Order: sequence, then structure tokens, then C-alpha cells
Amino acid sequence: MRDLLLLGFMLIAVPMAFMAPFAGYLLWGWAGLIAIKFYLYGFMSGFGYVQIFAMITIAALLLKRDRSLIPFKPNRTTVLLGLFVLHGLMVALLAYPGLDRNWELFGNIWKTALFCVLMPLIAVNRFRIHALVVMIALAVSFHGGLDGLKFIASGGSHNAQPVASFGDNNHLALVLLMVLPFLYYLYRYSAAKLARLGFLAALPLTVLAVVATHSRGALLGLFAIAIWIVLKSQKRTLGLLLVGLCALMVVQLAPDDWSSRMETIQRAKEDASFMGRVTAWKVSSAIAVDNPIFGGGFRALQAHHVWEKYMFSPGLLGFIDTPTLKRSGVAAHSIWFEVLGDQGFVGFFLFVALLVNGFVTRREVWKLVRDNGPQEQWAGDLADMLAAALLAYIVSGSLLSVAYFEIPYVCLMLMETLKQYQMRMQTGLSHIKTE
Amino acid sequence: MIDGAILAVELGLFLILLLKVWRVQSRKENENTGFFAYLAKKPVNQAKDKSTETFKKPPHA
Repeated sequence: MRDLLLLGFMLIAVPMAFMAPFAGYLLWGWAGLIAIKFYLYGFMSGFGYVQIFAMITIAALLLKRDRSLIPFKPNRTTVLLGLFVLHGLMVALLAYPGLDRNWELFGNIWKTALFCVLMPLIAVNRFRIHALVVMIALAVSFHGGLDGLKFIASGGSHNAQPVASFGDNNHLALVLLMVLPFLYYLYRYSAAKLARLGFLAALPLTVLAVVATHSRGALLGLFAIAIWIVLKSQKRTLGLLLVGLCALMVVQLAPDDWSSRMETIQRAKEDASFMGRVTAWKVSSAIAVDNPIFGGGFRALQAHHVWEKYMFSPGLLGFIDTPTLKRSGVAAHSIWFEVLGDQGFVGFFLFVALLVNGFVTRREVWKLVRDNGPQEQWAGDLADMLAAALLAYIVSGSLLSVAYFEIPYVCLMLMETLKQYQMRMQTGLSHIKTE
Repeated sequence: MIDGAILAVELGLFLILLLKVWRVQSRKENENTGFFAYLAKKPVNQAKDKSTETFKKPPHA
């Protein structure tokens, strides 16, 4: 039945993608975020939807079927991303031999970068930027809505597990966290009452889905988002009320084993799982010290021969007493140490520069918004929500191996796209009509 | 059962968005109409906060 549903959808969507490349671009992004094939069991489950829509979009763009495209102009985010990808290519080429996921992860990076680099060229006005935000919210809150409803239906016993492409429960939790600011923005800026109610309903469902993942790192990210949203919100009272209601709902509905698991955050030093992570950080830093320019290669830490080589090395964290883990295959459990070990200090600095650039761009968006007038406040508010998503990524990602997830890079480029749009507003070039 | 229902809702909503994008491009329809229309002005009854401060006034004619 689901396969028939998707077939019907594809019969309409594919021709539209050819006729309207921006529709193809939305389909490309949506297919990557929703990972639809993992929800199908029949004849439609074997297709590579992301690749299909990527090829259709690029073909349609090359055939100049979208006259609203803006010529490519290098910007800070694109340059940093480009350097990150080029450096990643060298990392993959010079990696330790026998790394299982070396080229797969580099493949994820350059494909994500391709999607991102096209964004400022194709999302040329407010309508398209809004459509992009809606697409991201729809795709990710599909998972949130599903797991949130199951959590309610099961009386709090549902354990949310991700589809294969998302990794484990912690990764799913982070993806869900990052969509919360998008949902809040769409709730505030949707004109249709039904749409506003829909986005508002998706908010607590997604929060419950985060609870259902039992991820401790996600809880910390949830606090960070809540504080940011309340501080940056125009309607502070509304923001506080929403956050308070969600917190009350979590406290009331979360099962006892969830509460017990979250309490272990306070006992990190005694928690074997946490100290194992610190050991992994030590080994990652040791790989970087030995290979400062290009690191060890993607997921070098998880290769047995690489782990054995560095498991007694102090790296940059020799001052911390950690247990020796003789087993290999341990993940880095931190975006910082993941990139450090995989890509060396150069890759690490490029990664940090990309994230810092996101927040710098946010300030620039607000400066442009103030110059352009109060009717552009939506751009500032959206920039704040993108920053909230990045903050969740930074806080929760400090305990997870999610350096190569696509959503943070999409947020960074969306921030740049907002800035480019506001700059065109300032110079009077904003009235690009879609034809 | 829940999975199928949510999938149907998801596909339906996304199709509405795609149709709007297609109609705006090919039929030159007004962008800001329909289910996913956005508020052109900021939401009403906004309290000022540090982010907004004072907007620069547009130049006089």
C-alpha cells in the first residue's frame, strides 16, 4: 500500500521536477532527510531517490529551465565549504589503508556540499527560502511525528530507533532537535491557521520523539535550544509558555527508566560509557598529533590497526586519567575529536571556521535587516532559529559522532542564502520574479 | 498503521508544496497564497527586544 502511495506521488513529482528545477531541488533535499526507502517494503524500496532527484535537478538547471537562477559568486560560506571538501579529498586519498567507510563518508561530504553550494543560486527570494524551510520541517518532523505519536500510544514505553541512514538513537535525537527551531519559526510565520496549528502540534510531538530516543546528549541540546528560543524570541512570554509546557509534558510522560538515564549525566566521571568516550577522544587527538595536516582518514579511529597503534598514546589529553580500552571500533563520540582524528588540525580548523562563520553571518543578517526595514524582520528571526539549530548541533554534537551529517551544513548555507538575499534587497535587486 | 497514515499525510503536504512551486514558476501564480503562505509582515503585537532595536527609516522621496 505504501509503495503504491509513493508510486502515485512519484508519477506527479518527477515530471514537476523536470519542469520546475526548484521543485526538483526540494525533492532532492527532502529525499535525503526523510530516507523514504527505509519505510517501504515492496517494489519502490530499491530506488536511490536522492540520486534520482539530484540528477534531474542538475540536468534541468543545465538545460536552463529556471531563469531565476543567480550567477555563481563566491561567498565566505561557499569558500570555506569548498576548502573543507578539497581538504577532505586529500584526507581520503592519504588515509590509513583498510578504513571501511573512508570513501563513503567523503562521498557524503561532497554530495552535501553540492546541494549546499546550489542553494544561494536557486533560493533567490523569500518564497523559495520559505519553501526550503517548509521542506526541511516536513521531512524531519515526519520522523518526529511518527515517534512522538508512538510514544503517546505506548504510554511512554516506545523506544525510538532511527532508520539505517541516521545511525543510532543519539543521531536521530540530534536531527529531531535541529528541526525544533524550524517548526517554531513556521508556527510564527505561517499565514494559514491550519498550517500554524499543524506546526504547533508537530513541536511537542517532536520533543516527545526526542525523549523516546533516551539520548542524554539530546537533553543537553534541548536545554540549549529552549534557552536560545526564549532569549531571542520576540514574544518572550509565548516562548516561555511553550518551553514550559513542553518541559511539563516531558516530566509527566517520560517513563522512569528515562529519568534514571538522564540523572546519570550528573555522575559522568563514574559512568563507564562517558569515560570510554574520553578514551576515544584521547586516541583521536593522538592520531591528529601524528598526522597533523591530513589526519588518519575518515573513521580511522574505528579501524582496529589504527586503534592498536594509538591506544596508549596520550595525545592532547594526557592529563586525564582514562581506562585503557583494548577493543577497537569505538566511535569518537564528539564532532570535534571526530574531525580532529579524521582530518587533522587543518580539517579541524576548517570545521570550526565553518561553524563560527554561521554565527558571524547571523549578525550580518541582522545588520542588513535593520538597514532594510521592519518588513524584513522575518529574515532576522529565521537567522536566529538557524543559530538555535546550530547551537543544538554544537552542544549535543560534542558527545556524538555526527560531524558529517547534512543538516548543519544546510543550516550554514541557508544562513548565507538569507544574507545574500538581504544584500540584494539593500542594492534593490531583490525583485527576482520566478518565471 | 500509524506509519502508513503519517506517510500519507507527509506525501500529501509535500505535494501541496511542490504544486505551489510549479504553479508559481509555470503559471506565474502569486507566490504568497495557499496553505504554506507566509506572513508578509512580522507577527502582530511584537514586543521589542535587543535584536530588533530601531530600524533605519527609509530615505525620504
